[in-house]
Amino acid sequence: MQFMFFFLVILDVIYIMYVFILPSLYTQSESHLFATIEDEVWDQLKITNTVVEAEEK
Amino acid sequence: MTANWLSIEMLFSFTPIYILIVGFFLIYFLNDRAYRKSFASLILFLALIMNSTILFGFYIPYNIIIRDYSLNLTVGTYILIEMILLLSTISFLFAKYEIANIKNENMMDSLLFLLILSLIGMIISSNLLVILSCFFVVIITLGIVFYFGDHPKEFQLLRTYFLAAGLSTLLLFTASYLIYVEFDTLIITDIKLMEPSNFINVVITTLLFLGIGIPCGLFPFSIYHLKNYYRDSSYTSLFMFSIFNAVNIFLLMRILNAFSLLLPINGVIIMIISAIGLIISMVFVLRELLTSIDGATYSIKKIYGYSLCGDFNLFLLLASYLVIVTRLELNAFYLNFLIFFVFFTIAIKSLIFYSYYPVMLETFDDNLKLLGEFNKKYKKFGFALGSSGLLISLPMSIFTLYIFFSMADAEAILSDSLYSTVTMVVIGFYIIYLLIFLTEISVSYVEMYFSNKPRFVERESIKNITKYDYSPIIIIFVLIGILIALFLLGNELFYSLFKSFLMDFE
Repeated sequence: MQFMFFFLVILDVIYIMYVFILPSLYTQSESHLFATIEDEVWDQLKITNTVVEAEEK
Repeated sequence: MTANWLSIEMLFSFTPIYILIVGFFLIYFLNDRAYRKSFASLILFLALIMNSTILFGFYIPYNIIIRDYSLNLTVGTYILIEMILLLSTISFLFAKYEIANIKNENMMDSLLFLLILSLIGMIISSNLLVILSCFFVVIITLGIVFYFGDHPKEFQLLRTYFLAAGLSTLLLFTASYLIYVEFDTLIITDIKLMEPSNFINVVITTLLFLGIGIPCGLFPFSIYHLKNYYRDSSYTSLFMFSIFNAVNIFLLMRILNAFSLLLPINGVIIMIISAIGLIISMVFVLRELLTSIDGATYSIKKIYGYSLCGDFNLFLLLASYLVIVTRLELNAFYLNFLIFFVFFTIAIKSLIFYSYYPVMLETFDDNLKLLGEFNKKYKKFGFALGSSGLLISLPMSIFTLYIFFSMADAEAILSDSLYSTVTMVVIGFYIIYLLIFLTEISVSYVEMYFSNKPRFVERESIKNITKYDYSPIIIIFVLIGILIALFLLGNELFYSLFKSFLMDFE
């Protein structure tokens, strides 16, 4: 029982860190920590598109 | 007390239902939109006030029980009606802005009233045939409500859903036929008193279990027939489905007289089935949340729906443990916890669902990867979503694990190695559920409220949030506080409130 209690407390600390503390820290510093891989792919797609358009011209 | 249909008590007890029936007919004929919406909320509010008066003014103080060949009115009945009315208010809030300016909007509104009425019918009746009829009306109406929305949907989408509904109908009518042949009655109050042979008992209870469980995602079908429903439904019908899920749990408990009809062999079968169902739904939650296997939809509706299936299966897993406990005279202690657990889970699920309200207002997209930066405008909704995970992990899990470890320490369970193994297995499944639930909440919270560069298509006109829109959050938090206080301070209070509702004998 005591072990389970510690397990839950540790789980909660991780949860609070991930949900409440980290996001607010990173939004303050305007970092792109949570930018997803899709964003990078999205940007690359934009770059390749502009290259193709330039070549066509 | 037996029911006299013309007595003042009966007329009084039925007032919320009369109000809702009047609402159901009048709303269909009201064509002016603004007038109809305010009328619908007035009707709901009146029904809620009347129901609270009946519950707190008469049923709880005098502990009234009205029993009949078709009726079963107790304290538990009115608590559940209160729950249905409160939750449907949230559904109506969503319907007001989500399903707006479509062709047959008045039909949608009156169908929602029909849904509420038939959900109440499932609770207040004691005749199996009436209960099952209400059950089918709910399933079919949920299917019809699915097709209302901002864009037309093909009928093919719900083919498997209606197929499963048909199968469930077949199973339930077979079960009621067998019950009538065996017991010569269809009133569930009387069924408890009979002692059937083991074989017929196993057959009947398995049929009832499958029939009621299949529409909510029991193992053989699991989420196969519900996937399209979750993906393409509106938020309104998705939330009505979750109310149906909650009522179904109580229906199952009541029809099986809080599982005391079951034999240990049934308990083992249900435990295995629900454990497989739980694992499958949790795997699907993770698959939708973290991978792009299912077409990179990352849909919050699907994630919510799969976790509903998970809840239903987890509850069955915990309840199947009751079958063992019943034989060890720990019934009241455990059933009290189980009722608290169901109510708590429903409250938390409503909190999570209501945090999708700003998403519904801003866009028709429900893709987690496209949503983002909701924290700038809707901080309080984000707080509700974040704290729901905290609430399930800190008070709820401590209660659950405390209950299970104290069960494991009970002498009757310690003396038998099979019982203690089963207890440990149940605890293991609960911890898996908890971990995946926390992952689900934290990932969707961070994606929805913080991820950069939102890319969703905004709706044409976006409603501004007023302070009234926060009231459901406050109400749910207060209710959760009351639930926890009652569980800690009340001496098996939930059991004593629901005893006459679930056990059906005096």
